[in-house]
Amino acid sequence: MTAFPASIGRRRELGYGAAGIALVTAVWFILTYPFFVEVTEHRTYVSTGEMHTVRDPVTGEILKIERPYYSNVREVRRSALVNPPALDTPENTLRDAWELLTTRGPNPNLLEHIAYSCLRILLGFVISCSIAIPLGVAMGLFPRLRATIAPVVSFLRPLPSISWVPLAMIWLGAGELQKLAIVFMGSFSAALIYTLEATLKVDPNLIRAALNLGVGPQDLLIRVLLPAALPNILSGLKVVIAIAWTCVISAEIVGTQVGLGSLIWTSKETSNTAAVLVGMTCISSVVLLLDALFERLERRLVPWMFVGAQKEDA
Amino acid sequence: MSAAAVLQADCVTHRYGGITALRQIDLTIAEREFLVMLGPSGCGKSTLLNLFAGFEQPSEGRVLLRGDPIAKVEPRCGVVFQNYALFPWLTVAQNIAFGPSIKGIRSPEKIANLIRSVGIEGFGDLYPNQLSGGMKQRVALARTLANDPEVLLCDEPFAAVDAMTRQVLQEELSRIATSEAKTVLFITHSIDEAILLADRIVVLSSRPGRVKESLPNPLQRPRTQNMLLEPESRELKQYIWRKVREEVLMSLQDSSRAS
Repeated sequence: MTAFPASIGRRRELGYGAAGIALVTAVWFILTYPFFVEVTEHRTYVSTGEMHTVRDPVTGEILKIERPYYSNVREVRRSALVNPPALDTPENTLRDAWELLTTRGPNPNLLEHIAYSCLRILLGFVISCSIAIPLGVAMGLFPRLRATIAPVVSFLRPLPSISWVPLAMIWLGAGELQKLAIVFMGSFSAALIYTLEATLKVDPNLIRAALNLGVGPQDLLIRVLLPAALPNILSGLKVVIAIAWTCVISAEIVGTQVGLGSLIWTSKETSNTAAVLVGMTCISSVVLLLDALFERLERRLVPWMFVGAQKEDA
Repeated sequence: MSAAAVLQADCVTHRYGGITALRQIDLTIAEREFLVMLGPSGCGKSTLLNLFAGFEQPSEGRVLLRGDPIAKVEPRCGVVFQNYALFPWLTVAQNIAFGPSIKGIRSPEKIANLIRSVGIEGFGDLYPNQLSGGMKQRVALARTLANDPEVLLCDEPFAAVDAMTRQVLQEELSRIATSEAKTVLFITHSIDEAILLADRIVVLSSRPGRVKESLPNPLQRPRTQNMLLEPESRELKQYIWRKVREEVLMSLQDSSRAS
């Protein structure tokens, strides 16, 4: 007996999940549906094209002027509970998404926005991991190195990625290098700490067992330490990818016209809520997709973590 | 049992920080002897085993394997751990083949034989996570045997296994140790286990550990669970229990004084 009820089953979960999404969409639709109709009447000048002559009362000149004609005009204004720019309708948002997807003009296409953000993240992530993982493992193995680097890392870790923007701009300008630097600085210390913790968490009995079976010091790293630490390193890197996303969005606030961060910031300048929503949806979708891809990679690299225990005694 | 000494502790004292775990202990294990060490928790049984394995170095005295001091981790003394210490990223067969593969030896027949002899046929391609505790300990035993150690050092290997599985494993270990002609140092809390397995039973005193009693086991081999119910072994059991009980009480008093 567990304190909480067990799972409701895969199919029901999917059903309830779909219902949840439908509910949010419905609320959005209701909030932006133009329920309120406001009718105003005002007089307006209508051109008739009919000319007639009048004498100017001061100069006595004969003038040809159009006969003024005024008409009562009815204006119907529709409004919703929440109106743009606070929130745009689902249709407008979809239309904007479509326009962004199909544009070939001077403004970047939605796919370009996505591609640029992804490339910046992946490149920054790869660079930061390729330094952080070896260094983290080395810190796990050598207490002196650990003691030397730990305070520096403790200092770097609390800095949010956005706080690196000013220095990055002063040092590197506003180009791609600056974006990479922000992703790198934002994700490096997290990757380092996750790797260090994974290395320290390796069961010392496994190392004893390996030595007892005749493993030499050089084989120990490759054959025992790395595979033993790998599952925890990978689950740490999953968190680091999410951190890298927050970094790239901060980095794209300034100095670029392309990237999902830039898309939502520039759309905000023009109060284009629909485009902001499109950008946010894309960020979320890409993160989910990357997560799924990462889990595939994990299943490849650490298959033993995905096998269920058989509850059958010898 | 007049064969040459394989393992020897020569006036060994071992301290951790301010605690003396072992004091001036002398112990000799002869060729092909199955020696079971009994003692209260914290009496330094595992410490002595770790010294024989070379995981630690004694503070004073010497530990010897065939007369040579054990200066580093000694692959000739194969350890079977209580918590199995299997490599989770390797399959059962790969775990067993680990020791030979380090030396560049590939011998699938030998691995298959070991898998058969510990009774885990058909499990070779599973990961350790997929096995029960009893099965894991069989794999661990096979992995150690695959490395052809001269001595088996068993640190309460069956303590985490359920009682029924334990009986089966005890019988298998007894059979394998005899057929492979291994020298065994086996640590346990269980007097029954000691009587069932041992050629000689050593009772360690409470901390700091010393040899309190060393008695040969008169029971005939092969042994079965039923033999534990016979008068001869009940007497032996009562005798050992009196010895162990004194030490357990001592260590309880020590720990209550300390707290």
